[in-house]
Amino acid sequence: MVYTLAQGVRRRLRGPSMIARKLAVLLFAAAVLGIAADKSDDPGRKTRVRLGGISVGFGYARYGGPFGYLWYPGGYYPYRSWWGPYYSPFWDLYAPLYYPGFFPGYLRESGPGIGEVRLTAPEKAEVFLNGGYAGIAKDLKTMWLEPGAYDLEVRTAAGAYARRIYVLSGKKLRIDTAEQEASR
Amino acid sequence: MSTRFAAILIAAGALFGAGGEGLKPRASASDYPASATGAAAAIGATLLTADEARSRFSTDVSRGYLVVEVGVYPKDGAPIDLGPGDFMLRLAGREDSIRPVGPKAIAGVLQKSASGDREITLYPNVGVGYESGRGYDGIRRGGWSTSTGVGVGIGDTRPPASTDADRKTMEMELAEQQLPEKVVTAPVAGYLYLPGKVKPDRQYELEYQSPAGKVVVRLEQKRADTK
Repeated sequence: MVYTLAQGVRRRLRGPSMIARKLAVLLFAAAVLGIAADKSDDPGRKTRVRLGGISVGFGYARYGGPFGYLWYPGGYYPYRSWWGPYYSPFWDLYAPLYYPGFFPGYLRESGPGIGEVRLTAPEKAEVFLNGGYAGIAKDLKTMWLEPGAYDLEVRTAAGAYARRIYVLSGKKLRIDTAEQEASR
Repeated sequence: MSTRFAAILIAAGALFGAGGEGLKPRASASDYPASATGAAAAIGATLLTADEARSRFSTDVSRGYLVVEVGVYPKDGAPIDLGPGDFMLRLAGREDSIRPVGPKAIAGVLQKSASGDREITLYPNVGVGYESGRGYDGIRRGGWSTSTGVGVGIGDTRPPASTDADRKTMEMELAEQQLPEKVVTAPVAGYLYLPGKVKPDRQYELEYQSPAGKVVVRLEQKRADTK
């Protein structure tokens, strides 16, 4: 897993705006090249792009001027002011990006291996799984099940729909009770 | 074939038969897109397109295997010792042929070759700041600052259908719908799984071999789906 942070900063009065911008462009280009270089032989492999969230912030910093000196080889350095030029209130805005654990993809990857079943059926239909009552279809439009084979039955006033389903982790199975396959 | 021999065959089939019950056979062999009749049975068959295979199976069987739906209709109720191994597939006009593969082997291959998707997550951020005060050099500095940025997270999601439970489920799904391996006297149907990928606009021949002779069914890959 690779994490890349591209960041550009523009400061009107001072600050390394050009360096930050160039760095941002370089990092972004590296990310794009990394994506392009990662070619897979498997045609089933897909690339998904998603928006993790937008952070908007406002910061205020006030410098009180030098009030102490820090020794360094060659002389003393006013340490309070040393802090000033390098500290930016915007750094706090980037904090979530410093920790890969906040990456939602990482969280999903660590999650349990379960499969999704999307059920389309009349809302009041009763749903049974392996003979046991699971609920009404209105509440079971999406079910998360462990990998395995299940006997699904959907009962309505008009009749019953029965099918053996096979759930695999990370896969989505769509079931529409209006569609009856002739071969099953 | 004597009645006693038929009874022994049926009993042996019940004892040693493997796999599931297959599919519900269509009314007759001619209800399949392709069919042929031999001395012992009539055979109906159709080669599933990749899209059809994806819609009928949770297992991604089309990734490396051809799926043939086949129906066997014994003549006059005479018992047939049937199994997927009695069939072979070849391209029309070619000598080399392929035989069906078992669900266990397919599930093992598909589990190991499962590939995850790549996920790119974008985190745009904007900020506005104001700084004021004097620096160490006594010069007053300050003013508004703005920042914009984007965080790019690149990662691979865990491949679907890659756990041991998935492998067992895939094996179960394929086995339960495979053409049954047993002695039959009534029509039966099921899938055959053959290694390879569908080639567009090719004609295939499905050959059924039995002690009573061969039956060859000409299958044609549908033009619409070449995946």
